[in-house]
Amino acid sequence: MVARALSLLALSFLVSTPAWSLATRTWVSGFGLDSNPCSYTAPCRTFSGALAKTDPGGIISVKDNATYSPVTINKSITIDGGGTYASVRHFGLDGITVNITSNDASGNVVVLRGLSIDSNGSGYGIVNTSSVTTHLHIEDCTLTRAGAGVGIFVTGQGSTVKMKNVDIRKMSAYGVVVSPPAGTPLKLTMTGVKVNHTGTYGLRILSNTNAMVVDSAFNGNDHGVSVESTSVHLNLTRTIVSQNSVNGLRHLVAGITTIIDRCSIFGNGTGISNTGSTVVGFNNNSIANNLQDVTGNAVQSLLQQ
Amino acid sequence: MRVLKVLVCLFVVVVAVNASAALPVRTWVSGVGDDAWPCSLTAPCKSFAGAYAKTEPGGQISVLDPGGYGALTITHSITIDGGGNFGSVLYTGDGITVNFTANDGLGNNVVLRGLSITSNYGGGYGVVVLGTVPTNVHVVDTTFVRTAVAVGMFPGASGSTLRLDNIEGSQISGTGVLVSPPAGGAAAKLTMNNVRISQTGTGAFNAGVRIVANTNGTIADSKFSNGSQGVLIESSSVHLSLVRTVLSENSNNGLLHYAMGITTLLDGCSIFGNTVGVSNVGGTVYGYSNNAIGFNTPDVVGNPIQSLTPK
Repeated sequence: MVARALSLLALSFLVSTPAWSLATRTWVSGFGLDSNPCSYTAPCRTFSGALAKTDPGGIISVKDNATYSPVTINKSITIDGGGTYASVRHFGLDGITVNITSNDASGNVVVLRGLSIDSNGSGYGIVNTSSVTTHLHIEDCTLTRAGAGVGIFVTGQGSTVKMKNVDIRKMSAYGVVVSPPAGTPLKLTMTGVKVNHTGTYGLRILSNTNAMVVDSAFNGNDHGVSVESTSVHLNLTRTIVSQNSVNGLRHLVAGITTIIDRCSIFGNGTGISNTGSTVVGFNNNSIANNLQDVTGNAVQSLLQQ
Repeated sequence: MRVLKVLVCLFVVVVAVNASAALPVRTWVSGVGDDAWPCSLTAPCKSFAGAYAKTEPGGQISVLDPGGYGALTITHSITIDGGGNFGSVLYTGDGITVNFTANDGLGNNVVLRGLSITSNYGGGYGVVVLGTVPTNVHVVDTTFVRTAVAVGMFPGASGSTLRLDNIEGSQISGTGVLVSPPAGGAAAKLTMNNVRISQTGTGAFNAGVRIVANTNGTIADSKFSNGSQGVLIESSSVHLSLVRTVLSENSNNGLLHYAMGITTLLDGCSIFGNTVGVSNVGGTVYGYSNNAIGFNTPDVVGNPIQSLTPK
């Protein structure tokens, strides 16, 4: 009788364990299995498998250089390819979907590091569709051959996006598209982001965003950078906008203000399309060899200090 | 027989001395290691703390594979090198504590390279420098997420140095880099290259970089954005040069001189979209007619920027 009670106790313990004993760190491997516990010695095979077994705020480490299938993220997490450079193939789907629908104790922070994300001309490489305020970091990643590289459609106001050392090539439509809701603006920070040879836009910002773009390049698209609302405040510093067939920098509507500082705007159809809007420079930008350098209002040049 | 016994005793003594003195200069950690092992390449340890105890002062701990290696307190010279493997520290108190209480005869040098330092639920220091002797800390190729402070420097001895290269910090609830050396004696030396800190705390004393006293600093090719203060200087004993650095979208000040008589140099900097660009009441800011300062409200408070002619 005692033995039976004990065994029942043991059974209930075992059954309840998976509900609360998620690991703060898990591993994936090309040799893993999703039926494994995602431990170092028994890693999982997919990001989805590991995500389900990782505590919110935890880290999924990549053990070896393999291909990992698409994943939808619904809690704070770090996926770290590190020096291993994990690859995600997402033919016809979206690669990594961030979709957090309720706040977690780790601040709704998602870090994607060291990933190579590739498709066959469709889907988003990384897309954020969360309904709560979300903080997305994309570091040291390469995105190629999808419909769009990065799509930010989060509906939680006051979200942030930070991109560092990201290479985006051969998208059939967008490199980066940002469309946040009204309310507290989305903050976009880009350092060392290069978008080349997309079908339409290198960087397209539709609404309510404070954006700081530094040491980046938007080359060989239809439009290099397109700003589409007066609620977008963009600073471009030490950034190259070149060889875009229609516009380098486009203000789609009147009343937008953008700052350009130490930028090079060369060889576009129109360098800066600025009808009814304002572009402020500091006598330190190189704007030349476009079919037309500036249309609409001239660049306002302030003195440097 | 007697001679043999003496020899055996001598041998035992020699072995015992070797065991305590001859720590390896290089050790390894691995996700499949065990701290009971010697931390060799073929029998690595499991934690930074386990390997640290088995590494010669001045030696190096290498990371064999991506894994979580735990918090650590450092009291002598050491290099921890995550290399391409990006060794990770996921902590709840402080991440890595550097606390030298005696000179180790090797210059008191600590190098932390290729690490990912994350506080699981936000809080604590990612790296904190304490101690009672001058200490030299060099953090390279490292990211900090969700810490209260990414790097805190509170050496008890004057003349300490802190060098930061290629550092990424975000979702920091307090301050990115906080430097507070002793007010007297030799100045602390601060060198930062390619340091990007964003989304720091909202308090008046939360900043991308906060320097409290007695520091000579150079910050180049860096960015402090989307915080409360970009760069906060609190004493005329701080001498800072900012080169090719962006201060943007900070809710209080891009650069704040929080005492009278502070002098700071700006060279090729971009200061945009902060509430106040440069707050310089009773201080001096030199520029070289190459800083872009705009779209702050206002751009400068207090003394205007003194523009020197580039040569």
